[in-house]
Amino acid sequence: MDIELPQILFQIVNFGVVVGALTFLMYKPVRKMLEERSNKIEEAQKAAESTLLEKRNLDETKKRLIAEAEKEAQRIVDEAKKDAKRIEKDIIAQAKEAATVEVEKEKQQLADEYKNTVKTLRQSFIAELAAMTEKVLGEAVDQKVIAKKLDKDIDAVIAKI
Amino acid sequence: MAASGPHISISAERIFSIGALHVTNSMITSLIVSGLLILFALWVRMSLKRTNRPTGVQNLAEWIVDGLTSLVHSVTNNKAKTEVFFPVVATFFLTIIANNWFGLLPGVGTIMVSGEGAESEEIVLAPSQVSISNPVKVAYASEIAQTEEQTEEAPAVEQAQAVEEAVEHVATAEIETEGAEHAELVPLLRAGTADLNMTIALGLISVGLTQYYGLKYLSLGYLKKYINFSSPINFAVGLLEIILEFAKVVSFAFRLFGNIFAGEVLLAVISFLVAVIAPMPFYGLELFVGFIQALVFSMLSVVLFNMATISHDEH
Repeated sequence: MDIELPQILFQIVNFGVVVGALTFLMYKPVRKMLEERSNKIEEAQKAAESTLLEKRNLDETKKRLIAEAEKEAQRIVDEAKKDAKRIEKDIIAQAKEAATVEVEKEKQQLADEYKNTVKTLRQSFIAELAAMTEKVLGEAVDQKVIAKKLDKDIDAVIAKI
Repeated sequence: MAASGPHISISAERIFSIGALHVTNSMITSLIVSGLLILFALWVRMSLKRTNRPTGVQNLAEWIVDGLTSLVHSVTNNKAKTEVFFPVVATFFLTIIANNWFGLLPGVGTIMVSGEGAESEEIVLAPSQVSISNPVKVAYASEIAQTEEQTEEAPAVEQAQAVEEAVEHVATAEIETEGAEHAELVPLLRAGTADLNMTIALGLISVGLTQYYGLKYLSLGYLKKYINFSSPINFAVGLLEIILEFAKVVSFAFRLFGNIFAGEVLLAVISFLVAVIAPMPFYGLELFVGFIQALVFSMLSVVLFNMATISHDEH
C-alpha cells in the first residue's frame, strides 16, 4: 500500500476545490431558494390562517346577523299580526256600525213609507166613505168630520194589521 | 506478466508522474468525479428558477440539498451549526458516493493503458493458480515454469544444464526487469475511494476540521480535552484522546478503503468466474455499500464536529 504525502495533499486540495465550487454553485443558491420558498409558504400559511380566521369571524357575524334578522322579522311579523287583528277588529266594528246605521236608515225609510201608505189609505178610505155617504144620504158630507169620527177605529184596524 | 485473471492491485497504479507527484489511476478518477460534481453544480446553478414547482435537475438538487441539510440538522439541532457544517458534510457525502459509484461503471478497472505500475505487489488471479505479477517475480515465476517443463521432458544431464541456464536467465531477467520495472499495462481508472491515499486525505480533513470547529466554538478551552493537569487520570485520558484522534483518521480511512476495495475484489472475482448475470446482485450490493459508506462517513463526521463544539460541562 503506497501512502504518499503528495497524493494525500493533492486529494485534500481537490476536496477543498470541490467544497468551494459546490458551495458557491449549488449549496448557497439552492438553500437560499429553499429558504425563500419556505418563507413564502410560511407567509402564505399565515395569510391563509388569518383569512380563515376572518372567514370564521365573518361566518359568526353572518350567523349573528341572520339570527338577529330572524328575530326582528319574527317581531315584525308578530307586530303585523297584532296590527292586522286590531285593524280587522276596527274594520269589523266599523262595518257593523255602518250596517247598523244602514239598517236604521232602512227601518226609518220603511216606517216613513208605512206612515205615508197608511195616510194615503186613510185619506182614500175616508174619501170613498164620504162619497158613499153622500150617495146614501144625498147630501154633502164633510170629510173632516168623517175622519174625526173614524180615526180611532181606523187606528185600531191598522193596529190589528 | 500473467494477466489471464482479473486485475487486482491493493494500491493504485501510477499512470505517470509530475515531479514528486505520482499520478495514479484513482487520482484521475477522483479528478473526473470532482469535475463531474462541479459540472453538475454549474448545471444546477444555470437552471435554477424561482418557482414553487421545481423540475428536472433543480428538483434533484433541491432534494439532495434538503435531504442533507435535514441529516446535518438532525445531529446538530442548531441552525447556525448546520449552516457551518453543511457544506463540508454534504461534499463528503457527494464526493464519496460519486467516487464509490463511479468505480462500478463499465470501463473502470478494465480499460488498460501502459503505466508505471504499482510499487507494491500486485496479485492476478488466474483460472488455476494465484501468481504474483510484480515484474521481477513474474519473470522469475515464468522461468521456473519453463524449467519445470524442460525437466519433465529432458534426461538428467540436460535437465541439470537447463536448470543452470534457467538460473542464469532469471538473474538476467531480474536485471532487465529492474530496468524496465514500471512498463506494464495498468487500468486507466480505479475508484477514487479504493485508494488509501484518498481515504486518508478525507479522514485527515474530517479530523482536522473537528479540531478547527472545537477551537472555533470553545476557544482554548477545547484543548483541555487533550492537556489536562487537574488530575493524573485526566492527564492520562488527555493522552488517550490525542491517540484517539489519530485512530479516528485510521478508522475513517481503512473503513472506507476496505469496504470499497473489498467490493471491487468481489466484483472482479465474481465477474471472472461467471461473467453474465451472476455479478448483477453484487453490483446492487455494491451500490448499497457505496451509499452506506458515504452516509456513515458523513454522519460520523458531523457527529464529531458537533461533539467538538460542545464543552465537557455541557456533556
